[in-house]
Amino acid sequence: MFDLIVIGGGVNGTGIARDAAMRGFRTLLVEKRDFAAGSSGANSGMIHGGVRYLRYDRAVTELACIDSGYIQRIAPHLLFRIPFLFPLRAEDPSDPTLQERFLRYGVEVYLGLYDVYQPHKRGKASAVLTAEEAYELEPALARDLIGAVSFDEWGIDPFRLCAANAVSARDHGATIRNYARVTGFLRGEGGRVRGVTLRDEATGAEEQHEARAVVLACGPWTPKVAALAGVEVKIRPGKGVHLTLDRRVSNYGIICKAVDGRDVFVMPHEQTSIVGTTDDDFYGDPDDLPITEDEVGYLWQAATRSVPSLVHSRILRAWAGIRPTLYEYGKLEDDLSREHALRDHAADGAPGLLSLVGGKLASYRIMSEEVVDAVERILGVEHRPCRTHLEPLPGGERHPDVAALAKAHRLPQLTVERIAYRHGSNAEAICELADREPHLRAPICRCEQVIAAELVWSIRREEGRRLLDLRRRNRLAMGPCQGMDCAALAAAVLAREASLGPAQQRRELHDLLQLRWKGQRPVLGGENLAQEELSRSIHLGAGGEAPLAERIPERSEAAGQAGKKGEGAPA
Amino acid sequence: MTGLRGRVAREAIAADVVVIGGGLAGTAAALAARRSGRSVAVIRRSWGATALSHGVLDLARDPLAAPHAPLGERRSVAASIGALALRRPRHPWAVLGARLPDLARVLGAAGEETDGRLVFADLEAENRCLLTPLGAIKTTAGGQDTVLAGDLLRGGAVGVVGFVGHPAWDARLLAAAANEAAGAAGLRCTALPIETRFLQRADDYALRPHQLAQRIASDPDGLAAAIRLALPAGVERLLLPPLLGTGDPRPIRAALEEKLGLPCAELPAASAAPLPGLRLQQMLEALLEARGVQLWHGEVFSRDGTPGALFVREAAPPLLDPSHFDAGRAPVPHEPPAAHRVRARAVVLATGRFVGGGIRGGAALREPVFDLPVEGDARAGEAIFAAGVRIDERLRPLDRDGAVRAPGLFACGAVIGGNDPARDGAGLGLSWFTGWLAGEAAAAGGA
Repeated sequence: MFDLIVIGGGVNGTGIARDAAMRGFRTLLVEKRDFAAGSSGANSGMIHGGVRYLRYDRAVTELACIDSGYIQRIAPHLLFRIPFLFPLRAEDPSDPTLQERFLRYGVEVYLGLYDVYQPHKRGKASAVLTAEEAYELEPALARDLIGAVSFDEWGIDPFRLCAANAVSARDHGATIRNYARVTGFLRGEGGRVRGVTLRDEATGAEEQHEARAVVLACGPWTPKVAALAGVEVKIRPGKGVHLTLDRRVSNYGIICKAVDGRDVFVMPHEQTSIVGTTDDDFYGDPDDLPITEDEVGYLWQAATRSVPSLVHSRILRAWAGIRPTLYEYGKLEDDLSREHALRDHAADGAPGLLSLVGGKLASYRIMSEEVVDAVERILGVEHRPCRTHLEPLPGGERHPDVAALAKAHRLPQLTVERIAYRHGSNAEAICELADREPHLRAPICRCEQVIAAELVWSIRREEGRRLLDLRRRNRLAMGPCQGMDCAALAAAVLAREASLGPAQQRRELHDLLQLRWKGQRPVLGGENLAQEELSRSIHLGAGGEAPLAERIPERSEAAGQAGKKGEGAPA
Repeated sequence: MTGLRGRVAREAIAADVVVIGGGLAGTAAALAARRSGRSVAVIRRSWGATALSHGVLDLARDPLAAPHAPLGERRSVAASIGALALRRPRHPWAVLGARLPDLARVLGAAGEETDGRLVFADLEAENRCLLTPLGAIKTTAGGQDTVLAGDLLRGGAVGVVGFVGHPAWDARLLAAAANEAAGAAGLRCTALPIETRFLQRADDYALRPHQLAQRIASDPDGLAAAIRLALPAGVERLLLPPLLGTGDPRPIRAALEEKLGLPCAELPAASAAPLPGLRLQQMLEALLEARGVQLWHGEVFSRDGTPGALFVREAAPPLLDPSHFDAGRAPVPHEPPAAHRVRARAVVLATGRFVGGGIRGGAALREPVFDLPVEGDARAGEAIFAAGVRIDERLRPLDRDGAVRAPGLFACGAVIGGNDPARDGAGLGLSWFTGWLAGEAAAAGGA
């Protein structure tokens, strides 16, 4: 018997589970695939203040900025500053038209307004720059500027954010289950939702779990899951396509004008650059997002128009996610609110069921707090204050001394730097692991500086079961080689650690390469063709054929045992 | 490891037969033409897919075999080729159906030319089954002798050597995979995880294949001693990682066999820095020099799409230069160098596919030397990996209307479309066959 079952392992679900567990609720978190495998891992990776939403939703902007400040406090290792430039362009920079001058004034005022919220998130105030100053900061900008305005944002690794929340929930006593798919709801008197039935995707076993309340935090899957309880939840799903480039092409994020007048951006993200994003209604299956050449062309045209030298870089992959925006009829996609809605479905004949839709990455924590407050009200328990903005996420306690760690453990400093970025203070434990088991010192992914110890850490401590989970946890195979060089090595590390048989090892490798192919297919051409041909020759040509039916590796014995703090007191 | 052989093309080139491309297909063409007594020049931009290959010469995977059970029903090499041709009417094996009687002779030439280093199974025998470093099974008819000797179908008690702690060479994973795949064939694999002196320093786990191979080459006796320590009784032969030196592996293998008293074979490669592929490339280049083939380093283009207006210029910085393994040298943009005339009676196009640069991607696929029409489309998904030019059964490239492009022009190897080497298992073996036939045709056409 649980107090609360949270369905969905995205940023909201893991955030709710953490908050609930910290307040002492016996909590179960279930996710049909892996944490951050859906929308939470397919966004721009920003804890931004939502400057775009200032036009119509000042409250969203303020909320996002305040909470961005909190997230910096609890996971300082995961955040990185991305200063943005909003270039102001003119047909003829020496003689801008009245309209162009008006736009310039508008942008200055607009971003000046945003400055009001910057202190919440430790952002710097905007600066109005001349064209010459902008060129000095970003020499790659196209020479059609009459000036630029800067504004400050924060980037994050969204996969790590979700994993950190999930692990923290577990450390506070919650039961967390990835690869557990909800197949139905247990109903009681008056339609009361009193639990879920689920299928363990590794063993195929059906299970029942009872709880006093159930929260849906399934993002774009919410309507589908709610339908299992006979409840209709409407969303307006919007597909956003991003491109990942093989290198950092700028120091600043750069706002670009697309052919239809929309703003898109090029921004540095960890070792790569990201171009994003489109925003189009999407009513297909969220498990299968198609990306068209038109969408790639649209983004690329906008990006190369603002930063012409981008043509020298390579698009590693295209990827898409779904924004589970609130349902509104008639509005254009871009004008939809990023506000969120928490609904109690008692009114729909399903008391005990709550759903959270909408919102954005940056406000996940405050939304989670709101949900757990509502759960307290429903369950009629005394309010306990939320502490998720005060207690650091795992790894966020302190920043390790990278140089000292590298020296003490005789690992390359760059490698330790990246481990410390991903794991914060846990980098120390990972380096010690590498010392204790010297074969785990082996570098696996050279693009993103992942060593075997880091993968093993994710298997033992972060519920990583599949190769794709390790990719999400550690940026494995996310760099220029896209797995060509590292996928097979990583599969061997996983197979050894999780005692997988040869067929399962090949299956894991195959699935990673399939995902890679899916991302490469819309951007095939030139060097990508050569690289993919080579990768096929290495993996497929060397006998790695399409494997047997899908099987998820079972949870290994060691995983999750460490770090549990007891079962959590009943509420 | 030596760099690219040959001279940089800074002058006009003339030969009876000019071969464009220096991988396996181009080398086969050049050797065949030399056998017919022609003067031959090979011009290539740089190393390509052959140097990056797993180093086996596969002709055809059995298309009827269940993918996860390659050893289920076993058919002969000839039957596999026939089945593939039947199912894929545009596959080179289908187009070249009338040339199959030449196959045994052409494959035999590989052994003759290379002093037995490249060998093929009998066409009426089944494909050899090799364990790959990924724990999968690669079926192939041909390859380097040190690799083909590892055929799992020979059964028996096999020791699989791996290095303790090196993530790429886990003996237990490899032995388990081999047993699972070939246990029915009477194979009993034992894992031999060995401790070696070169894996006891902290950073040795980071060693790349060529670095491991250098260490093994410098101390094969040390390796033999380490294996002996782990060797249980009853093992009849050994499978080793493909790391027996960076040059000719046979002396190292001989040293191991002498010390251990057991036959030794190497696995094929499966990595982005494959030694068997690099070795194969170096062996081919040495062979070309020994046979008196002019070896040029340059980029060839035709001004009118025929061999009559062929030019060469110094190549742009190569995609793959051996020195890149040692230092990350960035290509520097430069002015296009001067072009020089290339005169030949016959020309063989052996430029490969995407890795080699014989087919270039972009909005539409194109063949850059003669601007031949390319079958294949980037929007077609996986089918793009079978893209290439069309030929007739005499290896002559065809235009869109199906007419022969030009007299005295032949194509071979991966530049020919219709074949997806990774799926079809028709890779370098098919390249040797088409290359040799193209070389013979060019020699005859240039008479």
